[in-house]
Amino acid sequence: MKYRSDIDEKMTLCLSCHTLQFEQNSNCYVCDNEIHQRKPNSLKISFIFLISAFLFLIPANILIMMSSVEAGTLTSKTIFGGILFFFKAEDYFVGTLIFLASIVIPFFKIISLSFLLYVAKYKKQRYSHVGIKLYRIIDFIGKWSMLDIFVVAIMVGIVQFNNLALMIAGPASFAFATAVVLTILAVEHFDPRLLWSNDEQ
Amino acid sequence: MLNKACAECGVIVEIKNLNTKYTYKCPRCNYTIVSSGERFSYILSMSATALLFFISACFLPLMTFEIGGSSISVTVIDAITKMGYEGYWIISILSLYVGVVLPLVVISLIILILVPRSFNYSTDSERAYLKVYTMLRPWAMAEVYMLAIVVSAIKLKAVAIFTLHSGVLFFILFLVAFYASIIWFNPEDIWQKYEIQK
Repeated sequence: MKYRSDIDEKMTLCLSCHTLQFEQNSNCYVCDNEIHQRKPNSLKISFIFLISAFLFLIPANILIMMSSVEAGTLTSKTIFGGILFFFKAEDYFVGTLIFLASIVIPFFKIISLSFLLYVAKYKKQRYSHVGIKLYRIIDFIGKWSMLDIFVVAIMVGIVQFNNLALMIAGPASFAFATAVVLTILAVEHFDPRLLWSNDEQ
Repeated sequence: MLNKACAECGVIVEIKNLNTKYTYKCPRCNYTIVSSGERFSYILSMSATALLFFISACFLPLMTFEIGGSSISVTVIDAITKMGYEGYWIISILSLYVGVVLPLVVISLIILILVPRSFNYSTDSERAYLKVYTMLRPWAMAEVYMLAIVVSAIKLKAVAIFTLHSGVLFFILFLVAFYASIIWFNPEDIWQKYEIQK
């Protein structure tokens, strides 16, 4: 079956109010937002965010995420160290949760988005259907990577019992938060319609 | 007849006799193209409920900790004010912003949009509110923040004796009402009225 796309019909969809209109205007006639047939420089911007996110993930996994002082002794843990701690304490549920949110999801997002950028850039339209499913998955799970950051922020804020117990955020928390925000921005700037653009001619 | 384009694959779909009870999906990629929201009065009461739950959750204690005889009870407000002391204030601000402040802003925007609407009165600021709403909604991460509270509580179980309080219950109720309102509220329903005007 042949599909007609908005480009074939010389029309533009406003992404803010979802009104379909002819492309002679630069702003939407309903909501006055800037309109483009496809997000401008979508692949380039998305690629830049993706590379920077990957670069920030390296220090995020090497440096210290959180240190705690308990009864005078200081222990520092990386992201992976924190996960191991849960498994050693036989808290498999929380361990798995943090493992998924802090390690699986960010790397899965980076690999999937690289694949999507490859499909869109080299117009491999036989992967379009897989691509759009991946896009929806990474769009949905993206925010769950913030879990560990929130945990650090809550713990640092709450546990301040002077010399008895104290939590200190480590530099990895900053790197990891930046990486997560950058991956979310990368997915936001990726225009999924570019996965299909070669389909109808 | 209504012409719509799929926002995720670009296919043009012609809808004859739009029925607001139905959900229209893209024939190629299965994206939801048209899906009308609930009645404004329902959304308004749900978001007002969410706001009340949020205010209660803010001031009621979330949990109490005891370490070596000293105890602390924590409210969301406490968490906000105490976080600033640490060196990594960017993390604190970021997590508070996306975890607590943005959900509140999103709920307030729905109320600000729908109160004049329910009196059939459209304000100039409505369009700005709608745009801000569309922009901010993906960044509201209250449910992740809730899970983080649970994880922190489990983590603290090892070091301290803690008891959960009503604040957590109200935060969960807030989440339910919050999700119901943002699922029911569809900005396109309001944009459509502007489209008809022109």
